[in-house]
Amino acid sequence: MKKVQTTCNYCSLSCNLDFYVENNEIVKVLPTSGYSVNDGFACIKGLNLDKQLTRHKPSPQPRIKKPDGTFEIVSWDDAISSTAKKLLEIKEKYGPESIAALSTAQMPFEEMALFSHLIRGYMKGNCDANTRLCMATSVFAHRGAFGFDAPPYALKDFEISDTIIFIGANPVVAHPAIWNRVKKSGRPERKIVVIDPRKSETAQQADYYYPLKGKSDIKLFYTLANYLIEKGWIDNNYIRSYTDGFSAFKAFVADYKLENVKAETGLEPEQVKELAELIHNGKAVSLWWTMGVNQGYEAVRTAQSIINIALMTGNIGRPGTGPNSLTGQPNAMGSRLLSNQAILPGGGDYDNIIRRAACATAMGVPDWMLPDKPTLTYNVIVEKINAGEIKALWVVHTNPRHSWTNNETFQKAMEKLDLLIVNEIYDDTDTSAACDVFFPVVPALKKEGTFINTERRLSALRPVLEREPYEHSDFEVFLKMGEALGMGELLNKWRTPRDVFNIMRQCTRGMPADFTGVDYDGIVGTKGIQWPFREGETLTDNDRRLFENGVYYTPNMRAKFVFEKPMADPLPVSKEFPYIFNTGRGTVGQWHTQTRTREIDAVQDAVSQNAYCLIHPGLASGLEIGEGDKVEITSINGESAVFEVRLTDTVQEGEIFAPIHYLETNKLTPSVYDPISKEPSYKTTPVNLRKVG
Amino acid sequence: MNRDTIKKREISGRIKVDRDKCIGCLGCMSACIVSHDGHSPRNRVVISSDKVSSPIFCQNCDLPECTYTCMCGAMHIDPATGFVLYDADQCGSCYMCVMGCPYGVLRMNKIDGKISKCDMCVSDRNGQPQCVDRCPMGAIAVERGVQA
Repeated sequence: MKKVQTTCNYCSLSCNLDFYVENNEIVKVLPTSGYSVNDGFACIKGLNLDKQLTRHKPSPQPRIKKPDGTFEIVSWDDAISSTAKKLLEIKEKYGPESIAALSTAQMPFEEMALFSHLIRGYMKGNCDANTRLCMATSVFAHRGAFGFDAPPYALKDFEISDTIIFIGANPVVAHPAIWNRVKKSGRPERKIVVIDPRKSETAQQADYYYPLKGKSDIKLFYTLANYLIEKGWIDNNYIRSYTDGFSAFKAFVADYKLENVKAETGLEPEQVKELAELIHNGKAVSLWWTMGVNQGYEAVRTAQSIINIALMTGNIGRPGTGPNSLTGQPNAMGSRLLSNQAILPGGGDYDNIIRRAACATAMGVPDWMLPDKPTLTYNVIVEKINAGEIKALWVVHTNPRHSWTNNETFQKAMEKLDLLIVNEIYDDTDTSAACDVFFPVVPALKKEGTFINTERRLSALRPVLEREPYEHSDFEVFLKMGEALGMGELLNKWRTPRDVFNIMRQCTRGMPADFTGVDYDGIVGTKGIQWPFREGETLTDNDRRLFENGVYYTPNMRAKFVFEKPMADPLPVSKEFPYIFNTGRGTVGQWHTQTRTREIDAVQDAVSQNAYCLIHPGLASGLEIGEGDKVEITSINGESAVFEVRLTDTVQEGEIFAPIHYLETNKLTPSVYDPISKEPSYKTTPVNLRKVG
Repeated sequence: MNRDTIKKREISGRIKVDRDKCIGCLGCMSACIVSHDGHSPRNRVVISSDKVSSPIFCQNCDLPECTYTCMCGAMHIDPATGFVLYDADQCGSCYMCVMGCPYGVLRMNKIDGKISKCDMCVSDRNGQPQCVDRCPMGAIAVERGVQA
């Protein structure tokens, strides 16, 4: 029996799994023993990757929608040549920016890079990714504070930290392997703190829980900062030696008094004092955030308010510390670094002449092949489709008809397009079911490439199963499409995933994320390697954190305190919409829009088949709503949807929580975005509700 | 084994679940798969008609139907622990135990066609049921010294 170690492509931990294969069938799946991230443990999704494409398996050949609306399976050659012809016609008729793409953090970065090479480089269209929906906020927060998008931690810090503070993060459900590491460390003096409007599964396990009002965290952290300053519980030596802007920050937060915190955040002054004492008494304090922070209308500044707490208390660059953003998807870090969407591959703005030259040389292309500006963002792409300006959209391994905020706007966009192309493993997702061109690509179990996980760790994806006739990887589809579009010698250096890995590696040379010391085949079967790892370096520690020397990536090499007066809520509750609609992950077994996890019987047995919401018994009784009743929730965005009710005191009285795995949920979320990151504000939508059954 | 001949016995422990604490994360199933070398899990979680996550574990029943229906002696009571244990070498794969289990928790192991039966992780290097260790909510415990 053959054993193949590869990377799980569900969440951002990118666990490694061992697949045991006989006669091209997976016999069993086990977590890789000794692998840095998950060492012998994995969640139910990863352990059931062998179920993928066992229940729902499309034809291995492309599907084209005919003019009469019916579908036809055609050959790969015909599908690619006819689609290329249509793309070129649209470009010719409407201009390059009439073509756009929505890529993904679910595939190897070699495929992302090649895809952008086509869409952004050659076609001069726009290409954003579903990372915009989850991690864009952290990117901008890091860039502002550290000078580069650099999550500073190693996951090992969970085992070292004596004070772990989760903010809008629920690792019990979202990152089970991490929670396993937190529990395993078993340090009696360790404190777990959760700050979240909802008493999440993690909050239920915490030593301290602070149920603040939704989106009031920025005010909490400014108040906390002021109190820490007043008490003298700050690290003046660290501030003086390694940071910029503290004096202005100190003056700014002086207005954030304890006496106002109850009205601003819902927390008592004593709770803020207690939190400050926990930070002061901790020897290694770590602050971890995910979507509760990232998906907000002033999310970047909120994330930076967390970073400020770490900087001012010297909780960064030491074991067990850090202001740490946990990512959502397995290759979010690959997308952020190498997808050529918001920055040049490896880093650098598009007007950076030195970086342009370095990238063009590494990529083997003339300068004109590099984009000259960041992509239009996801929201603008959708808006421009609906405005009739973008005519062709290529969607790769994401399901925006379901996951996009205010998702009816994406339904309208799909109807508006002249050409919708979808790369997917399934032909029946909300987005792929009715598309014009469907490319049935193989899953990660049949692909190769590289992932970069939440702690900057590169790990290898290697084929577990051999391909069947006609099957194509995304890489092959992109390469053939590039050839059909006429890219010719512009693809000379881009023939294989290994080629693209080596190009990307060169693009990082001399940059903060330099991984020129990582070999494409050398990381196979290993524990992975975090960036940076430069050519010629020897790996002596495989759980490394950044900024241990206090040197940052800003021009003067100092970290920056970044802050701004909190903005007014763009969508406050009102008499008409008096309740807050919060969203998030529902269970461990359900992944995003459930396209893949629907194939796992163990998961399907354990989850609701219908959309449901959590309502506090106090609110429900006032509206004569009982457990299991159906309610219609009406959103400020003008849409409404029906949910089954589950009563629980884990949500606040004025808050309704709904899992993201059901189409109904994002029907109700608004077209509101952080002004800097353009990440949607999924978490605090004003709604009303009424019982309907 | 004849149900009329079975004597009262001491069971070293029985899995006990607090349904109110269960969040349906399936961590217990993952733990079971991992601690049994990738074999099909010996437990399951279903969502009940009242929409509550309901984990189902082998109860090492007082009167274990699986041992009565087993024609080969593969399902047997271990005199030392009182656990109902399973000897795959003796199993004829008739699946009568699967049909007889009142909890529906026994199932065919996908790897070898034998039976996936909870062994309370007696063979695990950690020495206690891994579903208990890995449950993030503390919903699963071992009730010790049960009289059956």
